[in-house]
Amino acid sequence: MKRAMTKTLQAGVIFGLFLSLYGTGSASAAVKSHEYGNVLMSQPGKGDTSLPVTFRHWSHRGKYTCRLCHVDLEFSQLANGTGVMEEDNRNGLYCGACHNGKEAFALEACTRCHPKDKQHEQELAQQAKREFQELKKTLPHSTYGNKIDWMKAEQDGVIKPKDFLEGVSLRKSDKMVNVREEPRTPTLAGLPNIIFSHAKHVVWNGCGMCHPDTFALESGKTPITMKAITEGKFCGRCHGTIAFALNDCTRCHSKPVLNPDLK
Amino acid sequence: MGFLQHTNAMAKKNRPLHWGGLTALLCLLLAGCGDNFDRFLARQEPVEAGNPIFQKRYTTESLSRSELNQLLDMALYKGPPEQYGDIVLRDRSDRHRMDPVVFSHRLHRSRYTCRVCHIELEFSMKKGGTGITREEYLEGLYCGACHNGDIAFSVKYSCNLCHIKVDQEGRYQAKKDAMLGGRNLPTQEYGDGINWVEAVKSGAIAPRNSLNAENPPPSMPLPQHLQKPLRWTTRSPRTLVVFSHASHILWLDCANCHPDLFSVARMGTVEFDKQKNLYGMYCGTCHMTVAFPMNGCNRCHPDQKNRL
Repeated sequence: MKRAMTKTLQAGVIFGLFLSLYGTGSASAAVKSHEYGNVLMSQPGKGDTSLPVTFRHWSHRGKYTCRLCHVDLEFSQLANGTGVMEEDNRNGLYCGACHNGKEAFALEACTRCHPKDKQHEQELAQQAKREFQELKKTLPHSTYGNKIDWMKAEQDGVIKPKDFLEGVSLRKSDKMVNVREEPRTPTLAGLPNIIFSHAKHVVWNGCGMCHPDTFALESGKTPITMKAITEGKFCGRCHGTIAFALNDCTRCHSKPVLNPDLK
Repeated sequence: MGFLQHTNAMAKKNRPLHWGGLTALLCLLLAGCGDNFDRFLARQEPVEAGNPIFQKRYTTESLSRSELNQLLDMALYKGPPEQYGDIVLRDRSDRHRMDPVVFSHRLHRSRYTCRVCHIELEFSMKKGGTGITREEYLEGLYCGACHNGDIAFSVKYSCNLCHIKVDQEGRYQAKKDAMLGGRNLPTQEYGDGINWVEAVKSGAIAPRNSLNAENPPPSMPLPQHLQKPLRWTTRSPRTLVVFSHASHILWLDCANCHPDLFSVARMGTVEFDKQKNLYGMYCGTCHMTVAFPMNGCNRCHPDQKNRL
């Protein structure tokens, strides 16, 4: 009896260690800087048996704004929410809008995105890691996520992300821009106040990325909690997966507490 | 058992006495427990509005006392103190026919906090999870960030300071703590024998919290309700958990634990319990491998004795 119990416990310990070694979460601190913002694209439900494509946000976001792909090209903000098919790409939708041999490399270079086998997948990952380290050297640094301060890079003019794609984007002659800085008081006592800057978001996102789906248009109407954000809602839709990581507390909680100007 | 047989024997002779006796015994027991628990609660600091004892919800069945004891006997650290926190990395070394790398946490943590390596230098918290290659550390990533001949000995020379002989049974010569010599470090009787939290608080060591002096880590004050230790109930009425954020941020960044290991919502991580901690999850991620091992029961559970 005792021996059986010991065995069960031993199995438990081994199983536990196994879980702790292989249990992967969508953990932001556990994600390496060169893998932060990576999205695995595959559609097993539609009979896709090939290895998934790793989409790397870092290799795109220095060249294009978020809005261009997520609004103009209609890419979903949820992984595999778009359902990109080969035919779509060939018709110039989604990836095919740029990957046409003019704007970016053509679709015929299949193996630059689609790994041939497991070994090739690793080679692509290693190559991407090297490219990332090279890119990182040219851009301002931050502490978390990609460890690249994309916002500063854009402000300093180190990168100039395109916001318009000929034949795809609509002409916006009367661009509406909201540049208000919105102070918010946190629910917990003792935390620095939050400054939400429309100006910094508009550069990348326009209006359509956030309104009206994720955030109600009326100021202060969306009840936001840190718990919901860590679950990927509200700010957590981008911050924590692609935009600067949630660990970077002071990027939002930036004003000293009890600042009379913000009362 | 003997006592029960005795009462049974008595019961056969005199049934009313048996029932009366048992009821009285039960009443006494209940009263006794209640009294103990009350006295235990009385010993705790008075409950203030800002520092309550939270009720923690548990989703799993608890282990029996004997099962827990067996698990503790198997999981707790009993090795030599100078090798506690050592990581033997042999996956890549073996492939290149090198001796494995023995990394000693003990030698490093007197100079740098956990966050320097596990946040800034992106070392994985899982053994072998970083996938360090020679090209990378020669370029100044991972170990190469400090071991460049400038801050610490260079990775280009002195190979045998890290790659050391480990025999079939996993024995090796423990690294000597030249860095710790001459310092009057507070001790403890388990793990690596040094009470690191006390060492920082007393000023015996002053580990650096960032490699980049011009760009120090963002520091956000702890919210008011986290400045005092958090307290919550365990499944045993005899003890509580006392968790101090203040002691943890001496070493760690918020991001080392939140939101990956622990939810930011109050008592939001319902899944974790003693058993999972002992398996190396949640608190056990550090407190069975590098930070003080769970032999030091008393550090979190006041009123409990350490298991040495």
